[in-house]
Amino acid sequence: MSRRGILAAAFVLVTAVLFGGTLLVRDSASALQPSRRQIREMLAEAMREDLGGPRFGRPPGHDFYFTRAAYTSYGWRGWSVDYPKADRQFLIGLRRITNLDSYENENSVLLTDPDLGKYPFLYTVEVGHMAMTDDEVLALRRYLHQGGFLVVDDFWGTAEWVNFAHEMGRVLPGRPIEDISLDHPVFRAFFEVNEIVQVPNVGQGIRGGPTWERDGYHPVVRGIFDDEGRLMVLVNWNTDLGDAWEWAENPYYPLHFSNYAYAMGINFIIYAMAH
Amino acid sequence: MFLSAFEWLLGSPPVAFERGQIELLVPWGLFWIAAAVVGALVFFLLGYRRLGRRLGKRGRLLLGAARFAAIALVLLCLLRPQLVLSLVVPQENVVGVLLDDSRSMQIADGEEGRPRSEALLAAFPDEAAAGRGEAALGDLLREKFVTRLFRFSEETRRVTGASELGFTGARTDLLGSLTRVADELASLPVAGIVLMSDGADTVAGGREEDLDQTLLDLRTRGIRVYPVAVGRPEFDADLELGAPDVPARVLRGSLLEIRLPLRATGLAGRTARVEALDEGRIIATETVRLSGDSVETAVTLLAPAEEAGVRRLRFRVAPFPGEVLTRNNEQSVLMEVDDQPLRLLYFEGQPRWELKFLRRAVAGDPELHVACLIRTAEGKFYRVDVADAGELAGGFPDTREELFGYDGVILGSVEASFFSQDQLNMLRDFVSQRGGGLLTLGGTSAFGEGGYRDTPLAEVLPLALPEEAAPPADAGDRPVPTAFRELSVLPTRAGSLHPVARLDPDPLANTDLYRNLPPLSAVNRLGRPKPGATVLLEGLGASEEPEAVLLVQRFGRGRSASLTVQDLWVWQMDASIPLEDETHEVLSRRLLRWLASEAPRRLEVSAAPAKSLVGERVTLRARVEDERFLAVNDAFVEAEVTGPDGVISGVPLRWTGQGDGEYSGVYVPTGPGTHQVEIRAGGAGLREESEAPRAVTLFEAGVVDDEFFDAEADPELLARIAEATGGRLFEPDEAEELLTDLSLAESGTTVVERRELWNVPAVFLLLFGLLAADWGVRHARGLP
Repeated sequence: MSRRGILAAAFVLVTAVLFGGTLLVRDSASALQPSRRQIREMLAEAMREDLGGPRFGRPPGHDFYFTRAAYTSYGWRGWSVDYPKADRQFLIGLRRITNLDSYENENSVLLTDPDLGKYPFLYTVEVGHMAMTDDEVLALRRYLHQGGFLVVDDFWGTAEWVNFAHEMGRVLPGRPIEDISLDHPVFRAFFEVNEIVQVPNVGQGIRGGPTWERDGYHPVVRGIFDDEGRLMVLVNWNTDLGDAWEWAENPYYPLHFSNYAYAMGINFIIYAMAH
Repeated sequence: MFLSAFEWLLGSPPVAFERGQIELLVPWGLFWIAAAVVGALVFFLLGYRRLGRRLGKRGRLLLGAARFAAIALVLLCLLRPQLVLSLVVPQENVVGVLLDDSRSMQIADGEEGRPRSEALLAAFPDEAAAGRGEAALGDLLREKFVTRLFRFSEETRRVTGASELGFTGARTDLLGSLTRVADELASLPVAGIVLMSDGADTVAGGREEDLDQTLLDLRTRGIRVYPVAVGRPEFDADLELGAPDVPARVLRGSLLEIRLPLRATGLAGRTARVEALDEGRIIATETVRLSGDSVETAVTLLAPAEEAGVRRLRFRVAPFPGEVLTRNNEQSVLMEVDDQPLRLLYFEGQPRWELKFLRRAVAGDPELHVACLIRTAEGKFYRVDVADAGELAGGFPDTREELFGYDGVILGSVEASFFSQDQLNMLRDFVSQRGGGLLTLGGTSAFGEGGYRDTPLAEVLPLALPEEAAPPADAGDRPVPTAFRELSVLPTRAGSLHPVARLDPDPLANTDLYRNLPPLSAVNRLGRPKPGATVLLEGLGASEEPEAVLLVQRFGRGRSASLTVQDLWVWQMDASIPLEDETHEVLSRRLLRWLASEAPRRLEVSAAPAKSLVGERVTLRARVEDERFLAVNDAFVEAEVTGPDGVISGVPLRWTGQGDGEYSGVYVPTGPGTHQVEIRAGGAGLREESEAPRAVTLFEAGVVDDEFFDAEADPELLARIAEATGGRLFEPDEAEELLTDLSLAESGTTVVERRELWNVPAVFLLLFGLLAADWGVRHARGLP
């Protein structure tokens, strides 16, 4: 190759590297604020990994699968917060304490998945950023009317409540979200729960600081009921049961929060499977 | 024709030869007889030898036979054969005449639409009409006998003439009437009993032993019965509804499965629309194609029982043109629709979705109350839908009183070792003795996987548990299903007709309905259905052979069902199921209702007959059991019968001494209408408190219409009566023959008559014929 030829080749290479680098930087910048389409693609990718993943699969025949509802949201917060560690650690406790025949691994499912009905118990988090598609709304409405049970956890403050209430209004129009008092049987399905505790996230829990986030000072358990008065959606607002499960093994995370979170989680499942 | 020719030839009718004896009046003694025989033989042989050569073999045989027969006949006549008969003495014997006065005699199946009763009226006319026209049977009888006329239907009474008959009797009691008349004439010389009837008995109806006993009794007393059959044994065209098979009590909201027998004659190829009505409202219809071969078929109607209380169900088919009898196109039956809820116990060994969705399915059914007990951890139970704080507080019941308080038990996924041996025995007794229903569901700890193979419950299950049912493989400390399989569920033929699995009346539509449902899953290894079990639903999986998914059977007094899948709830939750679909709810409710609805109460009561006559004895029966469902024999049991007029009468019921816990008493209705019977039991062995058991049943007086059902004439029964007593069956126009037969009866006051037989025309003709044959052969062969 001539000298000029070498120079030309070097120029092309350098140009290509520089251009490619710029592209990469632009892509990572846009990943911070993904579009809805990108979120759906990412979710689908996550689902593909989860559903057909070589590690676990989803062996049929168990009585219970601890199932996370995967929904569309805006911002980086979404259904997969604390996933899958919280789920796995909760399942260890659930399987040890009760005699429920439960699948030992996490199980996430898109709201639009035709198999959604196989999992009559759904857990989901960070609904303050929920932005369901119309298909998801229809699928969830149908699921709840058929007898499915949804537990909502880990969202804080007025702004996130407003978003959640709006989304639920789309799913179950006209149905109020009501306070559930402590004499409701859900608090005695397995463990006797006599107070509603605010469970902090891992950082605040370990530091021992305030337990609230944003303006969510008081923990609340609320619910949406069907025409027959049966609980369809159970809402844990201003509290983060998921973190208490996820960090239960951490010696710095206060034990009483984890104990409470396990008691609540188990009560929800036993109640959902009987009512 | 034949009979009169016979009588001319032999001088007496055939019956005379049947009844009489033939004797020989030998005039010369044996020596002369022997001499005559030898002489005849010598004469015959000589003639035979001389002619032998010219005749050939056949001719010799013919000639020899004719001559021998002629000589034998003359010899026989010389022995003076006589027919010895015992003839009744005129006007010294009694003939009982039984005239059928039941309503079936109104049936106009005679020629030109004449009723059956016409033959009776013609045979026994009034005094004024007597002597006119053809001699009636009654007149002929009176010439020779002293006649005693009786009318009979459900009762028997003396009458002076057929004009007293109204043909309004509600039943035909052939055997009872015969016995009563035989009793009444016992002290008289009876030549026989003439029975004029269509033979359509509505009392004995198939009670063979009664029939045999009565006929044997008449025969022993030497009474011959001469039935005169009227009516036709088969109608040209008729449709008849049989007695519907309806339970005396059903639970409100249940789907009633009514089996209605139906018999059609001469209507082949036609279709009949059967309607079921509840107080005038059509509640079910079914269309059947008639085969018209008079074979009884059955229509199955599924009708909802919607309103509580006493219901009168009517069934009807619109009459076809040309039908002889239309009264038998209707049937009615009384039924009590109960709104006292069934109590069931559902026990799950671990939390399962099946329980949640079963509870949701039955939540809308006020007649089903399912108390749920879930073992959520070792030794920890969660109770749902219990009636009070005490119910199931100690876990699964361990006393008969507690367990037997339920009408049905559902066992989910719970291993056999959870139960004590006593509890397992109790569960078996719950079905076999208490009469409750047991439903077993599939699951990781159910059936063989739950270790039930060698337990008392294995007897109760409608399927066998295979020997090789693998012990659950352990993954950590809990079982993992090893035989997991998905099954597409379809109804069987039996399932398409069963009130549990029949979701659509049309079998094809029913199958399609199931075909559109998502597959269910099973984890248990199961054996074959037991011989007495009925498979209602079956599932097709990877293997070619379908396996039973829902199967039912009777076990002792109760019912047993197995649902071998573990997730019927998928039919509620699957994404392919429309929100408004009720398949899961309907199937679950029907299954539980079917399971428990026939569970007997501690006090059961019945009244027989359910349709009685006014003044007829109605037997009230009760079965009394204590809280452990053990029969009580020393209770105080009283029935209160409320008549249609509101008058209440008390009837004490006493232990029958024939069966444990069985009591009976008799009530005689004094007026027509629906009577309600309420029974209370108290005293020894039963707690004296407000919960003293009470039970209610119903019966109806004065509406018996049996006469129009199975109303074809039954000459076979009449012929059987005749044969068994030594009489003979006659048609109405055989009055003379009947009289002859009666005259030759060996019963009553008789006189012996000897009739010479040597001088009858037959002997002369025979002799003449034989000699003519002899002459003919000789003439043909040119012999002298």
